[in-house]
Amino acid sequence: MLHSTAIPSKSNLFSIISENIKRRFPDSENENEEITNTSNPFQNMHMMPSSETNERYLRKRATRNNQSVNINGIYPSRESTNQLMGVVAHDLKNPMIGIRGIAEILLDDGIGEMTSEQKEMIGRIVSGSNSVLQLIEELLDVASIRSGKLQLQLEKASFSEIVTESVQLNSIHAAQKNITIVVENKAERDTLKCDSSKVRQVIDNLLSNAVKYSPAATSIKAILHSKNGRIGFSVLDEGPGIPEDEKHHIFQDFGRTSVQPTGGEKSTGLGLAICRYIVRAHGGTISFKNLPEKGCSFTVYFPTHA
Amino acid sequence: MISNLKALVVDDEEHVRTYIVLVLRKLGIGTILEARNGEQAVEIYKQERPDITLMDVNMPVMNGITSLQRIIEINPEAVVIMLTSLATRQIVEDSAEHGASHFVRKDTTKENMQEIINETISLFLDVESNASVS
Repeated sequence: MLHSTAIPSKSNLFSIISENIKRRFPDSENENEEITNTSNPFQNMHMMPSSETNERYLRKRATRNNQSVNINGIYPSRESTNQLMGVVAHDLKNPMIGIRGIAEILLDDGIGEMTSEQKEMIGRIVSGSNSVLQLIEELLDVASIRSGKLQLQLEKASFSEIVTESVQLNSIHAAQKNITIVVENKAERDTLKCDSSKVRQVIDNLLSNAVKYSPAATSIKAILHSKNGRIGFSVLDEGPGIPEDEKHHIFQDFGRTSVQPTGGEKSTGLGLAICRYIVRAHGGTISFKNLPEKGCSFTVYFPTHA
Repeated sequence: MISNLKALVVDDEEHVRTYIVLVLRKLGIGTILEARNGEQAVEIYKQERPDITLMDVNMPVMNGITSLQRIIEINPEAVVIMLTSLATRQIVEDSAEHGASHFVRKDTTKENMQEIINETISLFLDVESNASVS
């Protein structure tokens, strides 16, 4: 079999794990103790055991040797993980921008005329690059939000204008699936003090999700409303809704559900988590419910003073 | 004539430089030079005096903001468009403060990038471009 020699046998696998453990904790005297303390040997394959396991190990070793150990200084804190995520996303983003840009210019016959088959292949590079760039953008958002670097540029904005622009953009994709977005404005207020680009990101995400999970030839309702001095926006679709046992994690990072997009679209599982962060940063709320017959609705409220 | 213009593209990422060079070539700019960091950009600027410089912000050896400062010291009228993949308010303000003529996010559409370059060329260099990327 091709490359079969590269795959270690089970016994070899444990030798590798053992070697990894020795490399990680070279000054330990008791080999058995180390294996007990790293309860999941497969974590050692990545050289990054769970922080809980390591904390236990390090505390135990420190107590035995009468030493003090700065656990937080040894394993990456949440803050440094976020910094790392930001750096990785940034360093991935630049080359991807170049790759997509060059591919787009090729697609426009910028270097010379191409055959339709060549164009199709280059088109796939463009669409693949766009997917990666979207994921990078979302990772950057999460990293900046989690490290407390999300800065809102507050200004007065027309909420209905933000929604209208987003509906126009999402209608293009919706039309490809023969889906209609119907807008209803019941709001008594319109002016919002907000970071309009971030609010737009929330509205875009809710609408694009609705399009993504709606069956073809259905309609999506986009309703603007107001309640107790707050401006609201609800999106109602005719999709499958969210399974009961998956409801609790839809606003969490990478909180993907088993529901599949209807047109083969991609989902990073970060969009709704980012929405929640942005809405909360504005002092607003975000919620969803499955509708009695079919589909579900997502609702955001923004305080008008925010 | 836009074809008489000389441009300098500064970015440490080769893919990005190639992309920007292709955008400028489609606009009809006649001479396009490249530098891979801010220091190299200053040296090339001194020797070649490009009409327009497109400068990345985050680069090794010398970053784009320092390079912009040096270029503006050499020629206060230099036309420099800053490029970045991460546009924070700080970067935009620093660029404006140190004399950048414009600012463009690298991940914007190529049409938008073309528009910004065209706008800058016609505003600062009094040259009209009729070329189109798309």
